[in-house]
Amino acid sequence: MPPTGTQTVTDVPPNRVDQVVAGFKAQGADPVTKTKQSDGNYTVVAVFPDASGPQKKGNGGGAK
Amino acid sequence: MKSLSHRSLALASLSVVLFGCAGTGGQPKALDTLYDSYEQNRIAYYKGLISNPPSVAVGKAERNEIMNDLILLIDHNFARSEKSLYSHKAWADFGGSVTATGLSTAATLTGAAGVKTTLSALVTAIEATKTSFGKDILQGQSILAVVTQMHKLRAHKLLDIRQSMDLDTDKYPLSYGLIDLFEYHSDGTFVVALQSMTEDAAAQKKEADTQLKVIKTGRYTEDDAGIALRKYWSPDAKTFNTEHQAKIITEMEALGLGELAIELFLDSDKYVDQRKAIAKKLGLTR
Repeated sequence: MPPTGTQTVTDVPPNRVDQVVAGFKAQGADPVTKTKQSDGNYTVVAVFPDASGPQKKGNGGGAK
Repeated sequence: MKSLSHRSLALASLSVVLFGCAGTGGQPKALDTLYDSYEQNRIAYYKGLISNPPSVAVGKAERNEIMNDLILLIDHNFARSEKSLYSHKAWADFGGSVTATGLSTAATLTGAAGVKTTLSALVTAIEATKTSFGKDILQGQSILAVVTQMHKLRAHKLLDIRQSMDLDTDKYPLSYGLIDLFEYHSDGTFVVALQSMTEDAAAQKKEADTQLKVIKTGRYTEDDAGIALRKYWSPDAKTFNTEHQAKIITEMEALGLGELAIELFLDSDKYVDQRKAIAKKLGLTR
């Protein structure tokens, strides 16, 4: 069962935000957006395609 | 209005008879006939009352007697329609268009004239309101669900009415009671039951969507299990090991978290215990 819907992580520290974005993209999320919060941390929002629609292949970061 | 006390006695007697037969598996034909006769009698009575309304205000006891009378008629009408429905004889009986008969305007009516208008519409509705419905709508198991919804709506409304009947007429005049009886009657119709089912389904979907949204949102946190799992999934923090990814997904699915992204699972403050369990199972932590 692939991930579905919109998935959100809040309060991501700046030094972790790229890692979080990459993790979502690795499972096919598109788009993945990062928004800076007033406290300097980030909110990352990942949108996964509908389970009934065409699926993107995983390992967006390049599998070993 | 002296006849009200006689009517009350008759109603009480009839109720005893009916309740006495409730456990015997259906009404005898003689009781049906008695019911029908009584219904015709009451309809004639209220038609007369509409033509010649009482000049004095209706008190609490009289209001309740009238309402009990009409509840009996409505219940009888419903029982007859339900019976016909199950025997596939009279599909149209459930198609009462009472909601269009004046409920919206009835709410604004007060005084004797208002009561007369509302009562007139109610009696007409009970007597012969029928709307054509295609059999295709009514066939199959869905009819049971619709009838169940009718019972549910009617039970809720009747409870509401019974509570209101405890109030004095300055707070709950007969006109309000008649409006409630309109709704009680319409709750036993096909259209209203269907509308209600649609509304229920929409509300349930909205609630499910809201719950899902909550589940798929988390606050970033770091713990040993999350760090271990991340390293297992993406050792160099640039590429992702698909074999390990599949194993993590398998474990997540076993916990009912198959719709979550691994990333959210690793980061969210909501899945601390589940992360610990999976990291331990995969031999990444002790």
